[in-house]
Amino acid sequence: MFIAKVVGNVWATRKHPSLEGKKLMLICPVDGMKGTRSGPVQLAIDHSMDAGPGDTVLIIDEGSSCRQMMGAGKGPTRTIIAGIVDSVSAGNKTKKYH
Amino acid sequence: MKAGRVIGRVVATSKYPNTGGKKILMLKPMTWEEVAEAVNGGKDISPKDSGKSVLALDAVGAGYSEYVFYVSSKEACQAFEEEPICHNAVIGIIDGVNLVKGET
Repeated sequence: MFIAKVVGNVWATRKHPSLEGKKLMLICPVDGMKGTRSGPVQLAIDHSMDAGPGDTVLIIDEGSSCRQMMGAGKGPTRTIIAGIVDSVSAGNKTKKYH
Repeated sequence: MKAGRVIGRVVATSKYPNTGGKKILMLKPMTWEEVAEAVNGGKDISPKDSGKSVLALDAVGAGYSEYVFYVSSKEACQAFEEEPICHNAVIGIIDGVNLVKGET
């Protein structure tokens, strides 16, 4: 699981049936404390978190957890938004995101 | 999920039978920034330079020179009903991308 920032979204009409009605958000892994990007941009599914652009979110990048969250027995997705970050604290510093 | 562009097709009659008769597409992997620029700005990256191309089974009927996104490993097999042997599977055709350019 890692912290990422929502940096955009993708729309696609022709897609796998299990992606119907799911938002396809573009996320970029960020450093929790500094907020700077620290990885390549990836596509993640937003199943029920309603994260918008600019939000800092929790990403799960693992197949079985993603299928469990989407409630589907089988599914071709792995990267899913699992939560919206309110604040990150490390050492004695805390960074608020809301 | 990674992005790419369909630049060709591979036909292999004698292969392991369990690929479920799916089309094997040849994709050129691209970063999401490149796809955003190509889809919105229409800057056409020439599909002929295959470079490091990737083969993927087709789950949505993607055509030539379309921008698609694909998944790999176990998720690729689960994109199909009969779970064939495959490493990558195309699961969506990109209509539009909206991406905020940011500092890395």
